[in-house]
Amino acid sequence: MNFHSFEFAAFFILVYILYLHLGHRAQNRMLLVASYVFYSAWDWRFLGLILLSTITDYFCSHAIQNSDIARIRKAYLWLSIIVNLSILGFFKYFHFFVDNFIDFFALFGLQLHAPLWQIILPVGISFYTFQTISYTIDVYRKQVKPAPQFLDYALYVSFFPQLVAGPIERGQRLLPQILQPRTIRREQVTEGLFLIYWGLFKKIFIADNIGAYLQAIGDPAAPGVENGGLVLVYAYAFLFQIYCDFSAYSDIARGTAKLMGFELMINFRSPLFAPNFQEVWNRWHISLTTWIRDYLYYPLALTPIRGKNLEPRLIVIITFLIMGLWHGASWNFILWGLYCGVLLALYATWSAKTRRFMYQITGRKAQLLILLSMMLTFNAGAFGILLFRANSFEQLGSWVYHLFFNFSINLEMLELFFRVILHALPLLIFDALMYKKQDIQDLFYYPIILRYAFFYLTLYLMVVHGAQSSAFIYFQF
Amino acid sequence: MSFNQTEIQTQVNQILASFIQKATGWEGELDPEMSLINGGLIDSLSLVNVVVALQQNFSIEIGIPEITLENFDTLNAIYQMIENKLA
Repeated sequence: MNFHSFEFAAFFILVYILYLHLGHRAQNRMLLVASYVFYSAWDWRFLGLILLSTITDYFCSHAIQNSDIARIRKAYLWLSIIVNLSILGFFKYFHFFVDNFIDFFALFGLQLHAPLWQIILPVGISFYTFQTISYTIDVYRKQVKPAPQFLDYALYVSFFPQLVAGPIERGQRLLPQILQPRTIRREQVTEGLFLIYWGLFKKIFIADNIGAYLQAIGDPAAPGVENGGLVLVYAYAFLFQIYCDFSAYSDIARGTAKLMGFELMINFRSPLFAPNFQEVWNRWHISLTTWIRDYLYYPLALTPIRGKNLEPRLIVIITFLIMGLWHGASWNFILWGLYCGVLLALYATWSAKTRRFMYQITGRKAQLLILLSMMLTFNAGAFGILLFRANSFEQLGSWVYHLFFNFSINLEMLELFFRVILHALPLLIFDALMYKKQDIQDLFYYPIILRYAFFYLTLYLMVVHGAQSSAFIYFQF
Repeated sequence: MSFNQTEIQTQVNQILASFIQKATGWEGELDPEMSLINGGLIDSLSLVNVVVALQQNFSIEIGIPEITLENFDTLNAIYQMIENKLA
């Protein structure tokens, strides 16, 4: 059930009508049933996994809370982490590790055979697993009190607006909103409707149209095409597509939650305009990057090994490798994680050495420097997205070869490039306006003529020039 | 080892000034209410180093839940947190 389908619209209208007529406790129960129905629309068989994760974490969190003995508290924490990571590991990484195991032994002439059965990846598993792990760790760290009622906790794990592709919500933020009666403020309705509308526009007009161009290109380095210029256009197009697609999902999730009086966290803050890689990761998939920071980076950085703390830049690389693997069981995601980690570590080193000189540059020179830095960061991100997209090392090698050693531009490519930029233009304008803002509220104070122009133009583009619907890309993670 | 309020403030100032000077080249006087994280003087990489240095200097343990904007964004907040830990 995609957010941009009539099926979801009908589902949400029904849920919303019921929601408005129920009391707090009944609202929570109804939302839990609705969330399970929503998930079942993908594949009801995997509801069992959500239930297993929910029961484990509910049980472990209470056991942690009820014990003062450090050893017991830690044992329950590890039980929760092991159960959750085992589910994730089996369903997401089993084939990857088995295949690599077999390939490794094949190097020594040992022929092993992979099991014949195939494991289907349950939708949203990486998102809700990370959410439940963070909850138990927060209870262990005494940052969150366990939810008293099992059914309320079950709603925290499965809340349908953010169940399959985030934002990955923390217990500190979402649980109190579930446990306390909610009031729906007028601003929440306005903002919620706007976020849903803007998310639909980004998905239907920008992401899916650009997706159609990408499909038409196929492999930008296939025999007969073989040109680095097309690889570059392809990288830009995919970067715009994945950003619009994923941020659209987050916007619609936040919007639907707001309509019911919930506040979910902001997941993207104009990352394409970031002037350096560090800033990109402060602005891209914020719920995951802050998760990685709080539950991986800080523990690794602050735990001495043989009396010494690890070098933070090394930890950045390790955590980004893990983040790459989180995206998928494939070497290209690991390579992408490594690329991002190394770039970030290099930036940290470079920035520490040059920042004092940068502070001395002011005025137009500083503005020019920021612009150049933004373009460089954007291109580094676009190169990274090729690693993310590639299906094999051969394909990636071919793209990189043509990009750097067989680069030329022709009219056809230029036309394609401008088509992509024209589709992304509303996003670029919107994100440029939003770059220094905390959230969307300021937009409602723009002159009325601008707001109407924005609405009619985007509605026209979406309805008349919207592309054929496709599933959200991040569902596969 | 015990520290009085002035010693805490002096040593925190020295640690922070050294990190900020290394990271940004900033050599000016640090104001106790100046925003260190939001103001861009400390990022998440140097924050970890600051935490480790404070832990070693004052022989205290700073838990991960305590690494927050409220505890680290200004010198005053850092003084307060360390005073509370040493109390």
